[in-house]
Amino acid sequence: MAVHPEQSASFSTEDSARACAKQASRQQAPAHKPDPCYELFRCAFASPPDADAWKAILDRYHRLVSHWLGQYAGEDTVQEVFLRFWKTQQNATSPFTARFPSIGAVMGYLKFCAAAVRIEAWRNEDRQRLLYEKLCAASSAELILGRVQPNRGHTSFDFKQLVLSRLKDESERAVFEGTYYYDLAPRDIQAERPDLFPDVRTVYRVKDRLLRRLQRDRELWEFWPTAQG
Amino acid sequence: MTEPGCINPNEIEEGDLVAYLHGDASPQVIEHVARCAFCAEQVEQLRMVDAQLLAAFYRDACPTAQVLANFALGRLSATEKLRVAAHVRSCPACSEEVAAVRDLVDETPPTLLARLRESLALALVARPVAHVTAPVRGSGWRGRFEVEDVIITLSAQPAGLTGRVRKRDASAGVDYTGQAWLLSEETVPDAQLPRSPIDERGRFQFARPAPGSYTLLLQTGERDLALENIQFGQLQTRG
Repeated sequence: MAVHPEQSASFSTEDSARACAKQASRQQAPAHKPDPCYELFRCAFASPPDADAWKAILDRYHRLVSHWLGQYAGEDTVQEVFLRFWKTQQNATSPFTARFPSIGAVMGYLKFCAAAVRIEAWRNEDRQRLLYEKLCAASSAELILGRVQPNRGHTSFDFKQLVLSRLKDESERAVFEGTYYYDLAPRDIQAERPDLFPDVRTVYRVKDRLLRRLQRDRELWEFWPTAQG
Repeated sequence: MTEPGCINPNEIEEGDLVAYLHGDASPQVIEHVARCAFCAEQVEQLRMVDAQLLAAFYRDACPTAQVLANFALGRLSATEKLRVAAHVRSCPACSEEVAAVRDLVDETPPTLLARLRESLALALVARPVAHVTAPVRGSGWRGRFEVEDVIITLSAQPAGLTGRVRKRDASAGVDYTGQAWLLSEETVPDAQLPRSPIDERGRFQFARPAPGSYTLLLQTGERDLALENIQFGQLQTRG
């Protein structure tokens, strides 16, 4: 039975895990002082961390986190929520008890991690759907889709900085932002900025000029997907 | 050797191939692309660059998922909250995400009845092993139920239901403290649920419920136990 050095003398991790599970299944107000569920978290983030407590947390809260993730619940997203929670606590400078005075505060933060993961999963799905729709007219849609680089990582950061540095004037910036930040159609961009674009053909011309310039840019070559790979 | 090129550059102006990409090209341009392999290849290349840019920049002006989650859960500072709120108002996608996260937060917690029904679904069901109609100051019965090493005895009397749960070969000192609930199919979520504490010796009691069929849920020790089909008839009094 694992007993953490900082743990209250009367409670082992095993006791806390059992009492927490029982308390949670009955939806009871904590009958124990200290709250056994809170104890699990406190021990998991103590120094040194209590691996048994962390395992009990994963077992106990897996279903709850899945529930919060809704349609995006899966092994990978649930793990991502716990990983995010874990990393944030590991990087914190103040003690766990100061940041989280109660189990309510702990649950609030875990829920925040789930919300962030859910939004990211939503965005990724949305981006993939959008790309698929854009490319469905292409002769080799699946091929291109597999080669389009996802929006993450260091490469993406360099790529973005380079692209943004190549925008020459307000017209190009308006076309670029409307098209790629918000997925606006050229007609919507023209309607938004009639001061820059008297008609939709002007939007097409600006976009044509911009895309061809970016495509020819030697520093950007490595980032463009090619049908030949 | 000549470079491959457009079959008739006079037919294509700047912007035409992007219009084609957006499905907004004139019939002449559509016909040209169908005939010109060079321009068809140009369209495919523009499409790939377009897709890569969209993949990299789509919603890049939106707050990050972390910031938006903090906003939806009311965890931002006042200044930042105003800034994010202004964006959310003008961005349908972010607005939808915030609503989804708030739905999550505002979700009504399950009712007590729903939680008890969940417990019932997982409870061990005790089987009746004896039932004796035994009028005691009116109508009543006594029953005995068993499951694994647990015995439950019940006594229904005009005044109510009393019972006891115990382990078959329990040594002294076993603590049976817990809760007992009487549930029926007719129980509605907002109803005051008949409930009794189970004392350390395993005893519990209820005031007599309305006539009908009930399930008794005993939450004691590590286990939940269910006793099904507990009948209460009309109260009969001796004349």
